Amino acid sequence: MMDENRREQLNRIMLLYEKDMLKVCFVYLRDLSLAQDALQESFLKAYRCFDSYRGEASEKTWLTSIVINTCRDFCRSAWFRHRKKEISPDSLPISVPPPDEAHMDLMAAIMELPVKNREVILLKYQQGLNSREIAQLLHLSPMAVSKRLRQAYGQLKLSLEGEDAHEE
Amino acid sequence: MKNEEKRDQLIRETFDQCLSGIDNLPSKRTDILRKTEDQTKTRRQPRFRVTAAAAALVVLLCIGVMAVSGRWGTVNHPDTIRPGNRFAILPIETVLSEGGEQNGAVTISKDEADGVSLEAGPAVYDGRTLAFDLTFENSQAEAPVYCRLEEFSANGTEIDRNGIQFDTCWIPSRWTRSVWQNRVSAILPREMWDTDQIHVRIKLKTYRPVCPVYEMEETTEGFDPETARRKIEEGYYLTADGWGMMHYDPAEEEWYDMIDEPDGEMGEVKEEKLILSLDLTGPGYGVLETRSGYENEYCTASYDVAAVEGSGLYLTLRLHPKDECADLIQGFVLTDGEGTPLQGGIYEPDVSVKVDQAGQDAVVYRYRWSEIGRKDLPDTISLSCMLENGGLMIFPLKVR
Repeated sequence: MMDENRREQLNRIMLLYEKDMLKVCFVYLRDLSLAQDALQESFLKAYRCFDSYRGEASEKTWLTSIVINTCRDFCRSAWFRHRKKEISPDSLPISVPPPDEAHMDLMAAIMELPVKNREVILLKYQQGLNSREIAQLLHLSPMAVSKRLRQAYGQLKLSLEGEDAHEE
Repeated sequence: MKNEEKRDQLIRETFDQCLSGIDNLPSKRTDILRKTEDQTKTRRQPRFRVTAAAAALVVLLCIGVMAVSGRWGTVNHPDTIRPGNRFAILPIETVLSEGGEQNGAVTISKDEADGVSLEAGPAVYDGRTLAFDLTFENSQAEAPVYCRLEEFSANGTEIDRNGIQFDTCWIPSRWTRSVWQNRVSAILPREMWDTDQIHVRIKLKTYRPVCPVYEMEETTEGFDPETARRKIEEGYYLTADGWGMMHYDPAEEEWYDMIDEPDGEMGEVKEEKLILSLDLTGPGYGVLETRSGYENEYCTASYDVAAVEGSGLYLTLRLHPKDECADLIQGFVLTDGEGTPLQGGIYEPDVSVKVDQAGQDAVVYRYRWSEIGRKDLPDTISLSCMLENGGLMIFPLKVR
């Protein structure tokens, strides 16, 4: 593929998926600035890899796979990663209208999930992928995906019930 | 509405509402496009007119149409492959080598250190893709090691690690056994496609704590600091699954995750390096023990690669369409020697297609089925192609 064509392709996929993929990076890395860096790196990887995209998966799934792997690389490259105990609503980009409290609590609980469980929740609900697609993307069996989803639901439930008890 | 549906709806709404602020952020599109210009100046021009993406889509569509159309296995179907039939192909037996001992294209490499070993192989290189099984073993399972992939390169260039799927991790941990094994399939950088000699290097670093290890269990509340303090006092080295080397700072009462190399603050660890080298010749022609050809009124063809290894079944077919028959020839599906799809056509291959002008307009179809091993194959297999006019071409291979 000629460079000009590749740039056109890149421009096209950025127009289609930039914001969507930034959300993936943000939920994965829990830091907007890091997420923007990871997104840029992902699109540059996609630009270099257009020729190796062979159409087995949808374009969006292919791009999501690159984004997820880039986020993993970002996690690896940091010397230390501070385990955040909680995600403050202030760390989220400002939404209009602002989300209600119940949704904010759930978002905070999702962000605190272990990354293995967070990524399946993210891919299922934010990216709209089914278990088979998630399994293919994460190189897992569909059973392992279901197991992680079950774990995530349990952890979210515990987390939200804990908050309710605390408020009472 | 069921509880599960309510839950699903709530989670979707949460993502929609809480992340909607991202939609209003300025786009980085212009910056990213500008960065691509720097990369362009150093890249070589492609050698071939490659129509891989479009052709692969056609192939997949064709496979889909064949699978859905129900033509496979119908009563009329065998007529199309009867010897002497205008659609039949001269079936020339080609030996499919298992394990690759007969040729030099399959390589195995192993490295060992104190209580740990890393092995790659058998490896296959088909001109674009490297594939091999990678196995790491910690023979002292009672003392976990922390593993980190430092290098995965071909001819000195780093390969995209997406193909290796080796997360930095403890082995064993609650989730991994003392043996970690995976099938690696990595696409080479474009500049290396069809290179004759490929030197692959894999470097893994391991860190084994000198103290006994205690694996902390993580809950939604995080880690229990009382347990952590007690275990540290008892002389344990604390770890946690999936989070690298754990470090607890009693002054701040905070946990830290060490993702890269450990330092003195993490406690004493013993380091080992495991290095593998694979020298592969190719692209893939050595894998076939004999070269055979097929010919009929539509085309001539031959297999460049036919191998079944631990990392899957590899078939690369080089096809020269005759005269104006090129449009009739569509994609292929894996069948037995009679043209019936294996396992009802459930196998999904990785596929790429390229037009090789240097080879008199040959079309090269490269297939890999990662889930297929020798035990899954009948005595004869074939890449078979449904023609647009309803005919079927088969290219049978004898499996040893």
